Amino acid sequence: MISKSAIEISNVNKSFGSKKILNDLLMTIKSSERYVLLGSNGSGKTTLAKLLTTLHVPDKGKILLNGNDSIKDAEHIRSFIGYVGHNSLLYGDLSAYDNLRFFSNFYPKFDFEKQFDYLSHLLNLSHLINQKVNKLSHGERKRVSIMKAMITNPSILIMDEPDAGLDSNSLDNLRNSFFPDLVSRNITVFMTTHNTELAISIASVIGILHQGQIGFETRVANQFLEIIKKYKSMDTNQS
Amino acid sequence: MKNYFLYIWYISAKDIQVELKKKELLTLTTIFAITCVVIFNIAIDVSAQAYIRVLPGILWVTIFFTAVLGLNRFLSVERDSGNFESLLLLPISRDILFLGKVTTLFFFMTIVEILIFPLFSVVFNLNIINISIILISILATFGISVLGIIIGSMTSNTDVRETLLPILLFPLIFPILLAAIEVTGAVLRGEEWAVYGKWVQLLAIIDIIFSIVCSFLFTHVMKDY
Repeated sequence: MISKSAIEISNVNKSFGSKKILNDLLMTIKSSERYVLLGSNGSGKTTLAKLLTTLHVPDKGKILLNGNDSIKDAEHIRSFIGYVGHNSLLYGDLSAYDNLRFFSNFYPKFDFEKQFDYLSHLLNLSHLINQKVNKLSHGERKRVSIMKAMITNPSILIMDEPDAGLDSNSLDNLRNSFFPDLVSRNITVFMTTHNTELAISIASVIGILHQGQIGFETRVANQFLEIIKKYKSMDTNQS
Repeated sequence: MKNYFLYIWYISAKDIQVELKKKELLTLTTIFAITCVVIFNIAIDVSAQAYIRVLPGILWVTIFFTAVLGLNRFLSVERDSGNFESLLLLPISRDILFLGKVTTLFFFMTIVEILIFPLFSVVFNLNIINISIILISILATFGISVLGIIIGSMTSNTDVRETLLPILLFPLIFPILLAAIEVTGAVLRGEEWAVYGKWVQLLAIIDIIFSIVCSFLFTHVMKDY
């Protein structure tokens, strides 16, 4: 079976002033794949993530998400992507619940309460949800931010260093609960990170961004998530 | 179309909700405006007739500087926290976002004006609460909000935004201030609608043109954030 491309990047160039960040970048991510992009600081990982979210536009080249052009169909693309950025992208003076409620108002076609209950348990946030975001720790904010990206049930999730600032417990929660859940829901993931261990444990494809191009790309014979998924289903059957 | 206005309301309601929790912007702008009124009252020691000549200028200069101060604060809160990015990620057209922000600024400025106008009347012993002045205030405040948000958005990614904002804003806002000052002056002198009505019409046309042009411009400015 040939799987459809979720993300297609063709000959994309992006510069800021005289600094060339991406140089004729070519990349394809298939539907339901988990693509993890590694690269040194300043290599263009965040720029690429922002191009995929339509926050940036390419100087040259084309980006298609589920077959939609990132410039012409930007508004539609934003309806089926979720984004976790460097900042939490939350209002500090509002509670986590109020933040999620506000953003979900713009996505009318899903059941907020159902999704909310499910994700707050999955990300272990039930006890924090009514607290002001300003009162949460960096790691807790990050988890709320991940919840915000997922609350609208996106088909493509773009995560820019989601592990930054997370302690080992939160990282384990992501690795053992969150990513297996993404696999079971066939969500396409594009993630950037510096954490090679995390990359190897969750990715189906790993790429390295070097001098504005994909310098290296490999399919990972990764069974970690499949094992967790199987283990969980066995556990559920048993109980 | 129903969703269009609903989404504008959601954006604006969220800003108002955040401000009501902090009360930072309203406190800052109200104190500034009251200080201006009191200082002008102490500094200008003239007869009531002369007041009528200078009062419209004092009133609208106070409102203009209060708006600039509030605008800088209003935009910096979202810019510094990076939250503006999350609004740009919403699956809505940019003009909804623009009009949502304009509505919020209009709301905050109106609150400050509701406090300032009666204060002006008391301090300067002149009745400026009049239907024509209310009408021109609504139109002028809307125009200032439209231009304020567009210029604020264009300068928000520069290092000298606090300086650049009033420098760019003043020449563009000048026709709005001029119309507002003319109408306020004419009403205080007891003139008829026939004399100043053309200024009200002009301001209404300016508002319509600015809101259409600025909505398009905002979409363009925010294309590559």
